[in-house]
Amino acid sequence: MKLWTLTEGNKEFINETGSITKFANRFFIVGMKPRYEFKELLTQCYLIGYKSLPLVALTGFIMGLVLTMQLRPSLIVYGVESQLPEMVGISIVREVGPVITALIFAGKIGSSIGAELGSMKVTEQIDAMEVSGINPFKFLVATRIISTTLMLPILTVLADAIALFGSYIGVNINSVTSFSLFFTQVFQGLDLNDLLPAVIKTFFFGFAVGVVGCYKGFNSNKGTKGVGIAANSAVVLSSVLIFIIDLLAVQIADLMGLNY
Amino acid sequence: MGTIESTAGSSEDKSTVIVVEHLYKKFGDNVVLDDFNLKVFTQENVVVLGKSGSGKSVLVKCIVGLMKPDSGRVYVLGEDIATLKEDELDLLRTKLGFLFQSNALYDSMTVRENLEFPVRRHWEGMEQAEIDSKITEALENVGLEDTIDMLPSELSGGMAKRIALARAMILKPEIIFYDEPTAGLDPVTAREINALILKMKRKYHTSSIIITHDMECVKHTADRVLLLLEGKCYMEGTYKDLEQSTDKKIKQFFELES
Repeated sequence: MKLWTLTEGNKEFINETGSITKFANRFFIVGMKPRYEFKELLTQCYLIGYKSLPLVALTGFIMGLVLTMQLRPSLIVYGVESQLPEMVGISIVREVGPVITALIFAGKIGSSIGAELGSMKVTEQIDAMEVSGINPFKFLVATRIISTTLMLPILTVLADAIALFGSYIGVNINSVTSFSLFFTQVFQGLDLNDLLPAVIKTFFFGFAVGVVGCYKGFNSNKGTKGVGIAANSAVVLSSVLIFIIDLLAVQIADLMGLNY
Repeated sequence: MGTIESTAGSSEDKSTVIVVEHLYKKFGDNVVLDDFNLKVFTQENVVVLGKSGSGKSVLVKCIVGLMKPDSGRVYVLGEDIATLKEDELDLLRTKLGFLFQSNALYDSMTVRENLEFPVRRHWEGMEQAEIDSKITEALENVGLEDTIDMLPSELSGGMAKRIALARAMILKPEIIFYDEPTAGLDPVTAREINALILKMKRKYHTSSIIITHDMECVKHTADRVLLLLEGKCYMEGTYKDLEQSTDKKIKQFFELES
């Protein structure tokens, strides 16, 4: 009895995985060679990073507020309500902040990159760039991948800070805690081992969002329908990758003794 | 196969700018190019005529390296396209211009930015005044100086085609590829585009490959015509040769036109 057969779906999955790996590899080979597209890189950092700030700030604030309000009753039951700032701080910095911010980022930026490049592909703008001697991989792809890789960690740190502020507001809905006492308690519960792995993994989240968005857009076809598919699949695949990277990151941090 | 002897003139004594040898390309089971051969000589307008889906666009895309042929060789300005590294290919492409059927203007950029983009990239360090004069010259060539600050979405089909031509010509290429330059245009605008193709050849001494199924375009622009049928060069000659042919497959192009 055959335990496993190579169906069309399996083949497609293997092909897709190989193609994305090849695409990411091309980024290191082609994208890292001069000439460097500094102007386009700065433009993309502005569009990808700065323009995402309001959304990330809003979701960060709500994330901190809601987490605090939902944790509070359980902590009261166990009589450890005073530990609320530490617990919220650790949850936000280690896991909730990076993952939620990355997912929001994948939704906003992954889809936008997929749709933009997909639309350029189907209207032959990428071909036009290539045939005029401008390497579209360097100009369009490398700049976007570097921008997402650099901007997501910054956005995550900002989202963490705003989430902690939201948590402070949440704590003060039911009790009165001073700003300095709240943040002293938060930072007492945190050390570098909490912050560092969490920030490092966001570089990988950003890289995944950039690579997947660019790959889907760059290989888009089938006209406007293809553009929609590129945008949609960029979000779905990068979200799945974020969870896989998170799973790997927590295992590695555990092996290195950073989770204690 | 009804091959017609070439009466294109004494082209053999001119230097070749494009040589295509035994080109073969298929998509699945559909053979698009089957042992296709082509030579383009300097300052010559070669029209590749064929029905929709006959592989004309695939041919030019193979020549400029946008598609890889399954077998065969393509030499452009003496360089074997298949052996060039990415950077070398980019450098070669600065000597080529390409007018896309869809125009392929960068839709997020204005006309000025569309024209400025290749200039800034390839002629680094050029003064802004000089860049402006290049843009003005390109727009004057196509008679659309007033559109400089417009977006591609604000242009009509004919205007967009002319701006795309201005962009293709701005680096003063040695060879220019026209992919269906008159497709979807009204007869008056199509005639203007044909006149522009000839003007560009006269002014900048370019060699061209023009892909079309529009017989008016063939009549006005072709020095030599190749008829692409079932992946092969079915005939080669001048427009007159085509017109005088009694071959059914050739005559149908004129019948459809009339």
